[in-house]
Amino acid sequence: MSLSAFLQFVFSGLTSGAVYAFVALAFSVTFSSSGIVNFAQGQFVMLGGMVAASLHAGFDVPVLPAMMIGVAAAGIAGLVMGAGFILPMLRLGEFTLILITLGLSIVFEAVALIVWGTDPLALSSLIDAEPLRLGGASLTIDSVIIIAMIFVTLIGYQLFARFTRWGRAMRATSIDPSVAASLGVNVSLTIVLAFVLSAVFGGLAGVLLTPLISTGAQTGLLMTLKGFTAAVLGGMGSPIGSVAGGFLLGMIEAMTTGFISSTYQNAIALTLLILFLMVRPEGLFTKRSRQA
Amino acid sequence: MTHDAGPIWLKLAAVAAIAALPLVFGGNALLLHLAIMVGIYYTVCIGLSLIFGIGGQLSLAQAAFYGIGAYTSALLATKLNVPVFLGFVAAALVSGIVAWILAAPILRLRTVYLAMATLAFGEILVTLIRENRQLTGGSTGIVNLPRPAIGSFVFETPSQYYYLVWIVALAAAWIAGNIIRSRFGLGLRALADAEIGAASCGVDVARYKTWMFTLGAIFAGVAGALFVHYLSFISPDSFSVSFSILIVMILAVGGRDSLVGALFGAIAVTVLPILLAGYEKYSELVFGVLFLATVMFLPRGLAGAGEALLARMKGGRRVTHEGRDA
Repeated sequence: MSLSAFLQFVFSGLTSGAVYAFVALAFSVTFSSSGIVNFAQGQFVMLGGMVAASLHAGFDVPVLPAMMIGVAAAGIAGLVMGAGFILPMLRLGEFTLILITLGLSIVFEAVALIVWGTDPLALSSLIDAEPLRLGGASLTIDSVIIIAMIFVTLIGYQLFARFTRWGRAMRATSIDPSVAASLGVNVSLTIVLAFVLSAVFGGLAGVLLTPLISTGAQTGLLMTLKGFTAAVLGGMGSPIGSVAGGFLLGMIEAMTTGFISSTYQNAIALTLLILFLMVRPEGLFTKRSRQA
Repeated sequence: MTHDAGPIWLKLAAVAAIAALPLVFGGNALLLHLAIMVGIYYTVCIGLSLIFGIGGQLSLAQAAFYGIGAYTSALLATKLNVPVFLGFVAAALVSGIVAWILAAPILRLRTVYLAMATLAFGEILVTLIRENRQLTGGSTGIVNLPRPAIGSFVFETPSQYYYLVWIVALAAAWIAGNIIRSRFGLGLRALADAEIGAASCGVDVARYKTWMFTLGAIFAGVAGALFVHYLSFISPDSFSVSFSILIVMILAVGGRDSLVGALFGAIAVTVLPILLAGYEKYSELVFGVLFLATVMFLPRGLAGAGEALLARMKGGRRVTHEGRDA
């Protein structure tokens, strides 16, 4: 394989890695605040992408506002989910909560199918510019934006978690909800906030991804699985680990496509998930042991 | 132990009703078709009711075993001209063996980790089926699957196939019912509630889980084989992970800790699109909402709600077992 072809696969790995990193980060945010692994996580990607694409195509909304509305729509869905479904049911135990997130995932997809049908929608680029040329390979502006945005988001989230009142409340809740509550943290509000944040991260991934690959109503579940795989690779609950896991997964998939074939790309990623769950459930980039 | 140990006359009446259905409604092709689908769904659900309802392990691999059984039987019949009934036996064997091998490593995982790993297994399997075009026909699948036959008697008409499906379904229910009431079933319920506790009382957790998972997979495999030879067509679309999720939804709506619940759920999912005539587009959404509502407000599903209602009507006698999640 020539160097330029190899670089091209690296770029595509970085791009899809950034998407997985967003979803993995979103998983980690809700997981560390409430212990819930949200089956509907991938649906926020779908929702953000579809809302932005249909606003732009159907109502001539310019790309940037369409994207912002897409992210907001995902955030509202996260708010409804956290405040309306998770919070009231929190005392019902783990299985019920898993089934609720699974049910919401189904409902989101069913609504999307009714509104948009099965055909995927595309979105124009945010910035109309020539792709960057590096060593014979090209990197589109949309890829640059999504890769840059995941780092901006990660740094922003880390600053928020360390230096703001609410961020600290979220971290305290993740360590021990009852102690946090006794120290005056509003645990319920923290959990809702975590769901909104995770939905916004998913929505961001969706609106930034749709100019690269059109999004369809049924993409959510696979996105859930991929994002979860990335989070498990990197270490569930660790923001930096999740982002690293996302890029690792993207790279593995790109190299599979480059060196083996694109047909088994998903199968290899998911085999990796099963192996990791069995052998190293705490992920590569964390030291804490967690029971899986 | 009140688990499904309903009065014997009720069971006999149910069996009689099932047996009489084609005699009464034999002319109604749609009804017969729905009844066959209920039987097939019911069989898959009985399997999951052992794994999830009784054993407390959330497996999203039922569609995968349904598919393994279906492809085993379809390939044997079309490539090697094996009689379909032998294919059914092979379907049970192959799905059982795959489940048995998979069980040891995968069932160490708990709750959502098990759910995701089994979901991933299903997705991998569908990719393998889709990509091995030479063997499986890829996305287009295989057509003209033969109907099962005993000697010269072929299960050709819908009524004949109905009896075949329901004999299998009732046999599965009978086996599962006996398992649930046995020592093995007691052990499964114990490990569902508290794995370490069960182990300390002498339940061999790993072995119990393996057999429960294998049995559930065998039921799914046979049901899958019955399904494709009924349609006489097989393609990977019927075995996608959404079918696994649908089976979990059916069981939760009906009531995951009882075999009656599995039947209620199977009937609900089959009849719903008919009830929504003209609005079929919304059937997925309606069933999703129904699922959410039962999970949130009726943790023991329709069957549990019905049981509670009956108990209240009998004059305040308390229901003896509570919801698992309470």
